[in-house]
Amino acid sequence: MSNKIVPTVYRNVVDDVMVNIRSEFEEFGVGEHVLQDLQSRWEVKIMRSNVAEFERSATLPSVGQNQLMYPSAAPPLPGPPQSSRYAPPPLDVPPPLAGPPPSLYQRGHTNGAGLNLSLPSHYGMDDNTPVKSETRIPQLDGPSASSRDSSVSSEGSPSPPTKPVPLPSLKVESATHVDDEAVIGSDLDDSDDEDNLAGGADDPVGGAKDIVFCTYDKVQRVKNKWKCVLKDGMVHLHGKDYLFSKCTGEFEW
Amino acid sequence: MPIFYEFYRESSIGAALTDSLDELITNGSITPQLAMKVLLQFDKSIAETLAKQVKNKTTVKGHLHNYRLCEDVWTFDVHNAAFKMDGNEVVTAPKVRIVSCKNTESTESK
Repeated sequence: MSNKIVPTVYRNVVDDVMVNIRSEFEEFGVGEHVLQDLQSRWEVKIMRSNVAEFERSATLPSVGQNQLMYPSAAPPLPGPPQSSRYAPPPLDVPPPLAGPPPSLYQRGHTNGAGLNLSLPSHYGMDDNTPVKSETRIPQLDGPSASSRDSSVSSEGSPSPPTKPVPLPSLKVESATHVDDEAVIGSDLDDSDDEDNLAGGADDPVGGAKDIVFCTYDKVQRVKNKWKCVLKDGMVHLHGKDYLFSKCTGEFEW
Repeated sequence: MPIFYEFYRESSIGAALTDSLDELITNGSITPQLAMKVLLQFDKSIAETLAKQVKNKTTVKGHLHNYRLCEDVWTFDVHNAAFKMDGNEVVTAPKVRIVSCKNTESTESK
């Protein structure tokens, strides 16, 4: 079982996926930049997970590209999640992310100013209408909501941590206002619940759950002695990842 | 075409990919259908890479607190598990769950 090989193996997995998925992206008409975006997001998350000693990879410059691309999309940041709820805007969303966009966007592409002019107006409409209509609802819950409402409408989405707690009813409708990390966090909580449901009380372990994913060749039992031969394992222990090709397990029940 | 298990998606690297795909779906860059293709490719890549590039052998001992076999998937909840590392170093965990799918390698032509 080794932690040292994790960076190499993960690097190769990422590369293998990227090489083999390229044709699918082309088939779907999704540009190369999105593929690079996916790769850089994936790599950053792997590195941040801190499951092994990762070197900063050579592909990281593509993160820089993203940062270069985002500023045009940054001002209307509250928009992206919402835009998926409205049919027309998604057509307009790719251009800010896209360096070399498909022919659809040629008009905007040839003239950068055109993009900047048209987008904010879309986002402005999307932002204002739903924010106002949705924040009106929680006002009915209590007087304290009025102060909160003003902060919400003035700031837009950037104040997620306080909102979900006092306004659970709002959360479902306007989950788009909560930033991605908060949403992801709640998903993780859910999966923990499922685990408890399946196997008994594991919660004392806390946030870091030690788990092994592997295949088995055979599982044998003699009285209370269990013996199993496990293969191709990914072990997550104390926040670190380990890999094994073969593992012999001996347990007493 | 051999079938590859999806359960490695729950590993660190799989979760990192799934989260990234979620973000790209949310911001409209890709469709869920394309994300599914990526995940299917991940299932294949991770299985092949583990099989080909990892050679390390290890042992684990512990108290089997709970076990289950359902649809060819074994789940073991092991208490006081002790994993033997590369240099005979032992790493212990108070509670570890082992999720194990049937190894299909022997039946595959590979």
